[in-house]
Order: sequence, then C-alpha cells, then structure tokens
Amino acid sequence: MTEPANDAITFAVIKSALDTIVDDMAYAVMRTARSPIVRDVLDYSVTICDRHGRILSQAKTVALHLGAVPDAMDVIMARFAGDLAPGDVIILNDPYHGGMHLPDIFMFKPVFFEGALAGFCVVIAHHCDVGGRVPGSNASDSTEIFQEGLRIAPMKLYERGVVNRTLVTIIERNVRLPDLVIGDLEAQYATCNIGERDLLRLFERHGRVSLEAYFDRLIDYGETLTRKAIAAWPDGTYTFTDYIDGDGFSPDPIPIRCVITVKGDHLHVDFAGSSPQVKGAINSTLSFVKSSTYLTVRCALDADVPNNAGVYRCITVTAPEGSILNPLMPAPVAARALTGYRVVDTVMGALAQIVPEKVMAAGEGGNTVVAIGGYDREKREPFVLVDMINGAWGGRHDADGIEGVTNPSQNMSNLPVETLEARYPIRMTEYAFRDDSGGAGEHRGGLGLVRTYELLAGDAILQLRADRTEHPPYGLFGGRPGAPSRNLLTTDGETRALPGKVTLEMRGGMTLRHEQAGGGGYGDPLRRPFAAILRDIADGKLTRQRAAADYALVFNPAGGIDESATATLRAARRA
Amino acid sequence: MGGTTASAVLIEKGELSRTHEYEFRAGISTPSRFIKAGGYMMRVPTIDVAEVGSGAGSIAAIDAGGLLHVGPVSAGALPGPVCYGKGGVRPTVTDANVVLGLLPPVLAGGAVKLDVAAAREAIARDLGAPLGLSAEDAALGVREVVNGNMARAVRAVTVERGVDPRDFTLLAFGGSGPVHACDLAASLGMKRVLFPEAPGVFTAMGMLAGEVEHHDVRAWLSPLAALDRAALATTMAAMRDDGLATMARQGHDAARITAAFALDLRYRGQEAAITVPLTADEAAIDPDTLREAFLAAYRTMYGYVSRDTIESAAVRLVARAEGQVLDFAGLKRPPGRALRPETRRPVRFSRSGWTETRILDAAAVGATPVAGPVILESDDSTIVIPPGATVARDPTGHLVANLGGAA
Repeated sequence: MTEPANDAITFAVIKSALDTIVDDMAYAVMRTARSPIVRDVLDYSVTICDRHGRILSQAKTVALHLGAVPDAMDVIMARFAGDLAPGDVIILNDPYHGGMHLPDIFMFKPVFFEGALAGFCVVIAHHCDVGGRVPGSNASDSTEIFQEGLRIAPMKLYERGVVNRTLVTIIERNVRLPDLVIGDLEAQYATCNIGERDLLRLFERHGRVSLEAYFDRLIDYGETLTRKAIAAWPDGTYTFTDYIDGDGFSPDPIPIRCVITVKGDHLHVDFAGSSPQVKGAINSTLSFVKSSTYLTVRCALDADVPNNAGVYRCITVTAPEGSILNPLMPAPVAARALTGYRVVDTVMGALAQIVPEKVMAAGEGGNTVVAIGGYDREKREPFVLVDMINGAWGGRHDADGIEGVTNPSQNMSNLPVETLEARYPIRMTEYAFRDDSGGAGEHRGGLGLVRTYELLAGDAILQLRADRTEHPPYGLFGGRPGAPSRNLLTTDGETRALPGKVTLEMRGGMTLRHEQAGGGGYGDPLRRPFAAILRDIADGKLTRQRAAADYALVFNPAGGIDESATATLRAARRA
Repeated sequence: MGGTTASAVLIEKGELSRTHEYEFRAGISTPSRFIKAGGYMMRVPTIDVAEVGSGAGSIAAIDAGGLLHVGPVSAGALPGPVCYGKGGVRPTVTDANVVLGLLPPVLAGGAVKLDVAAAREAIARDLGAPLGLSAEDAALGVREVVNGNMARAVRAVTVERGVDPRDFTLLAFGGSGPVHACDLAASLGMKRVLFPEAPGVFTAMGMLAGEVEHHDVRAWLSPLAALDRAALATTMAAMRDDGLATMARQGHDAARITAAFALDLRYRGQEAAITVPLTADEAAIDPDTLREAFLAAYRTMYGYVSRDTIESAAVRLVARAEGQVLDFAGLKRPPGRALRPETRRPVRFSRSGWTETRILDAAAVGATPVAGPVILESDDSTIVIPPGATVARDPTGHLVANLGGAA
C-alpha cells in the first residue's frame, strides 16, 4: 500500500531536512579538507540521491559538478547493481566512465536502512594534483587523456568498511602531493559518513515507506514547478553561438552553438553545429555539457524550485558524437571547465530571446586558472598552487553586473591572498578591479579582476587557462561587450603578452599578471542615467575618457556632464 | 516576545542549539551553516537564535499598496502604545490586544491604566477605515500578521532545519509572549504551550541565574608530537592570572572561580579544529593523552581517523564563576498575598464575535485543568487560553496549556 505523502508540514520538514543534510555535509568538507583548492576555494560538491540514484537535494556548491551526477549515478547503478553492501565506498574520475576530468574525484557511499539500499551520499572534490605531465593536472595543452594523470575507473575504495590499500597505494604513488590528496579523499569520506548518519536518522524518524513516498513527491514537485515555468515560455526554436578563442594549438575560433526548442512544457537543447573535438584539452564530456545546460536553465527559473531530479526530467540535451561537447576517447579533457562556461554563455544567449528579464549578459567567461607548481626550497617540499580567479557578471535587466563574485555556475570562493602567500613561495603584488573593463549598457557589466603573481625563488611550471581575449563577453539588447582579457609575463623588466592557454617555465622574480575580461552590458548605453555614470567615475571604475566614448557624453570644465552638448552629440550620432 | 522583537530558539533533548559563529545582519537568521547571507560574520560561540522585528510595541500600518504591516518600527516604551496615554498616536500590537479584551484595562498590578477608547479610535482611524473593517476586525488582523511573523521565527529554527515543530512544546515568555503563544502554537500544529513561572521577567531572571564565563583563546601552532610543554604551561599560567584578575575586577569572589584549559587540535592542513581538555599541570601534559582524546572526538564526529600529522592550533581558557546561582525551584510568591477575585469580561478571540470570558488570577490555577476560554492575569504578564484549550499547573509549578483538538 502506498502512503499518501500529503501532510503539508511533514513535506516541508522532509524537504528542509534533506537541504540541511547536504548543507551540513558541505560544511564538513570545508572543516576536514586539507588543500586550499578544496578548503578555501570550495571546488567541491555535495548531493544525496535516493536508492534509484535520483538527486534529492544539492548543497549550494559547484553547480557545474552537480548536473553531471545523474550520468555518473547511471554508471554506478549499472556497474554495481546487486554488488553494494553497507560500508562500501566507490570512487571514480574517468571522464569516459562517469567522470568529468581527472582532478574531480567522485565519491559515492551507498546508505543501507534495515538491510536494504536507501540512498547514496555523493561528494565530488577537485584534487590539487592527480599526476600527469603538469603540476595540478589541469593542462590545457595535453593531447591525450593519458597525459593528464591517474585515471580511476569506478572502483571500491572501501569494501564493507575495509579500506582498499592497493587502490590507496596506487593513488599515493601517482600524485605529486599525496598527503593533500589522501587528506582530501578522507574529507570526502568523512562527509559521506555524516550524510549517511543524518539520512538514516530521517529514515528512522519517518519509516521507509512514508519517507520514500515524500521523496517521490519532492521530485515530482521539482518537475511540476519546472514544467509550469517552461509552459509559459513561447514555443519555438532559439539559436545562439558563442566562441572560445582557440584550443592552445590552433588560433582558430571554436564555435559553441545551441538551438533551444521550447515545445509545451519541455525544453530540448541541441548543440549540433558546435566544433568537432579539438586537439587541446578543452573537450567536454556530454555529462558536463548537460550539467552546464541544466544550471543555466535553472538560473531562469524561480528561486523556490528545488534542485532535484525532477528539474532534469523537463530538459533533454544532445550533442553530436565526436564534437567538442561529446568527445571520443582518448581526447584530452582537463581544461573542460572553460568549455562548460562557454556552454553556459551560449545557452544564456538563447534564453535571452525567451526570458530577457531572467538572464544576464555574458560574464567574465568563467574563472581563469593559474597553476604554478614546483619545489619550495625553503620548506623543502613540492608545492602546487591552483588558483581560480573569480569573476564579473554581465548586466541584467534591472541591475548592473556584480563584480568580484563567483561565476553563477561555480559558487566558489577566491583564495585569500594571506593563505596563498603563507603556503607558497609566491607573492601577490596586485589584486584589484580592472578599470574600464565593464561593458557599457543601461546596466553595465561588472568589472574584471586583476591578479599578479610573483614567483619569489626557484623554478616552477606555470600553467594557464584563460579565454575571452579574442571573443570578449557579449552584451545584450544594445549593451556593449566587456573588455577582453590579457595575460602579461614580466621577465627582468620585459613584459610580453601570453596566449590564454599555455604551459611554460617560470623562474624566481618573474611575474604573471592576469587581467580578466569584464562583463557585457545590458541595454542601450545611452539609456544609462547620468548619475550612475558619475558614480562609476567617482568610484574609479570608469575613466572620463572612456565614459565620454561609451556613453556619448560631453563633460563641462567643472567635471559634470554638459547636458545640452551631450544631447547635441547624441542627436548627431543617431542621425 | 518582547516590546520590539520576537525571538525563537530550539531546545532539543534539553540542549540549546549552539553555533560557533554568528552572522549579524538585519532580518531573520539563515538556516544554512554553509552559505551565509552577506552579514557581518563573527567567530564567537553563540546560541542559534532567530529573530523577527515584531513585538508588543510594534506599530501597525497600511502601506501604499494597501497591505497591513506590523513592525519593525516600534513605539518603544516612550511614547509607547496609544493606550498607555503617554503621547503615542500610532496603533501597536498592544493596542490591538486591548481593543480585543485580551489585555485588561490595567497592567502591572494596577500601576498602568490603559486608555481602551483611545486605542480603539487609533485602530479604527489608521487601520479600520482604510481597510473597510471595524476596529475589532482590524485589531484581529494585526494579531494575525504579528502571529504570522513570529511563526516565521519559529519555522526558521525548526521546519527550515528539518525539525518538525509538532514534536515540541512551545515555551512562551516575555511580557507579550503568553498573550499570543496559544494562537502561534496552533498555527504551527504544536499541541502544548509551557508558561514558566513569572513569564514576563523570565529573561531577566535568566540573566541573574546564569553563570559568568570568561574566555581567553590564544594561537598555539605546533605539531602535537613536538609540543613545548614548558612554554605552554607558562602561557597557561599567564592566561589564568589574566582571567582571574579580570573576573576579580568584575566583583567575582576568587574562591568561587574555576579555570579549565583546552587545546584546539586538527590534522595538518585543516583550518577547523576540535577542542580537547588540557590539564593545567605542566608535568601532566601528555601528547599521547591529547592525541587519543582528539582521535576519539574526531572519529565520533567524522566516522574515521587519519594517519596524518596532528597539530595544535590554539589554547583556550574558560574561567567560570560558580555557585552564585538563582534557584528557580525555590521561587516563592509573597506569603499571604490574596488571590485576585475571579471576574468576567467580553473578549474577541475570532471574527465570530465576543465571548464572555473568565478572568482568573494565574496563581489560582492548580493541577486540575481549567478549560478555555480563560485569561490568567499576574503582575508581570497576561496568559490567554483560547476556547478549546485547557490549562493546568505541572508539578514544577509551571503552567501548561494543552491545545488538544484546537489546532
């Protein structure tokens, strides 16, 4: 007999209980992790699934990870059906078997209640190194997956509570910083244990039959809200194309093209017409493309839609096999996050035609990754800095782009300068907003950031993953693009521009300066209120010269806006 | 529920809900420990309280869109509610309760006489007229809004944390809490409301009854295996001297002060730590004992232990002034004080009209349940028991309302 699951307060309590469990799990990772990339930058994700592998609740962690969990769960369910026991823990990172790129190690702990499978705790963490040819294992310029590090097919790290020493030893011997990697795996394990304990409490409180009826209702609820929103969107097809500057080998632009089809209460997103898979490591698994698409559509839905499997039922995603968005073995994928960001920008551009008030112009284009790895002579140990530079949003229909904030697909944090300088032989000589970088518009784009790294001593390998130099973040509805990004390397007083995707040697005294792209503007710049422009000038975010050019302004000698001369200038421009 | 705000906190199995950090900001506290709400984060041990800006003195007003709001603007103690007759002209929650007959025409044992007519007039003028309602119905609307606001605070510490409020008893205090508690509990499906002895001064008594603690935390970064016991003992002695001197300046008797030390331990690379007890005796400081205490606590919390290096992060002192505690159980009412005689007055509990209601001295209620509707009065508070509920005194002397089927 099925329980009705129709008590409103019990439903609200169970929904919040699941949200609280993943929230506490996310907090546990932060408290137990060892590496700055996990502990400070928060490059990890947490979710819980029901016994069918359906997502019940997601912590407010990296959205780009979480939408890839359903495909990974499919692999787990297929591979370990009937072969799961209490105390088992499975890990994987193989992009061709449920993973995304090698540094992201997924961990799954099946939870058993009264002897039967009850659900899964899932924790994904970006590890600071998984071996391969470059410290940080994140190189943009590898050409095969085999160069990118240790590849872990879905395997049990724990079997009935007993750790698999063989697997641990293989990991320890193949990564540059085994203490941090094993420490972070332990943090993932601790988090799974906390999630298991709390999920079991929920089962004990409500009983399996009742609780699972509410799980069904919760997923249906996510689906209903999503379908209602999509049903209100006009049927039709909407196309948008954005570009990646190049793959690090060829300077040719790489198109990412999507066609969104709205039909009734369903959304189909097809990426036919996107680039074939490329030589460099920016190919993205289809699971990651799905994730990028889900989260972008989710951004256009109301805030109260629960992030669960019900949302995914309403959206299908396809990309041609052998394309950059659905590559074939052994294509390299380490820097695939960049492609995910561009998928987000592309889907956002298409959604702008459907729900213009729910989107923003293009942001900074995704974080820039600066990885510097070498040997710290003073501390006599190897080091690997993996820094991810957060970001700037594009302008929105009712507000300027936020600046100094994570890309909405990430929910990550910056690495505090104090932590960075305490842990690495590196000094951050500049961390600033980049003046004049926000795209002009009625609502301007956010300013990009500048971060300058000075290697203090020794030799190191620098690995850079940046973009938006040739194809700056687009504006919407008359808004202008944000300023393109730049990368500058200074050696003995000589400065030269670097390409966005490069691996090279650094010596002590060299500095790398990254100037991030600014967000695109939203709406006609000439509609921007003078007061807002003057405020940006007063805040030092906009120079007068740039304001005059972008907004067709004439300043009077006192520094204010000469309104009649400005009107004349604008009339002449329109004519 | 006090004059300007209402606060809620969860007590589960006798334990207050505590947190290690507190985000100070306007509005209600966030249910997330992980995602903060953009306020000012303070890393201090604190009790996890949710608060809304609705209290007895909160002003009720109609906004430009025609919506009824209660708070966060408050009339405070001066001028106070209109019915206090001290110059207040904007209707408050207290004015609404007076108009409905829920509060008596005199408060605080006769010290404050209330101007019921002025309260009714202000509500009729500011709320009733714009809404097209009688003064009484507008007053009921004020109560519904303020109860809804308080329910948000209770939900924030229960439902939003995955805790079912129906499993709990509502503990109602503050001058106005007992006037609203039964309706608030019913709206959340809670069945029992507990009114402590002297609910109007309960928080003040709590301040007097609480022990005073002095905390001192100092960074102590060292691998556990290489702990410099002599240096640590010197620092601990200095911390103890500082703590005792501080508490002596505050007037605490040195003989009653106890000092306890603890050490924050963690695995190398972690930021967060686990606090384990530390002996003050240098000779007895034993890294192995500390390691075992850390590993046991870590295993309990996270389900595993690592082989990695353990390091200390900070040394803590908690100096506590013990012994001078107010004994609630020993609270006695003044001997020989006569009970107020039972009276009756019309009270409006709902839109269905006036109900002739018994008014009792709160002290007159014993172990035998008294059926609502009934209003219990004392010098410090007024307890409203609506129709359908019952109230009785429990063995410890507190009043307990049973809402039964009233929800």
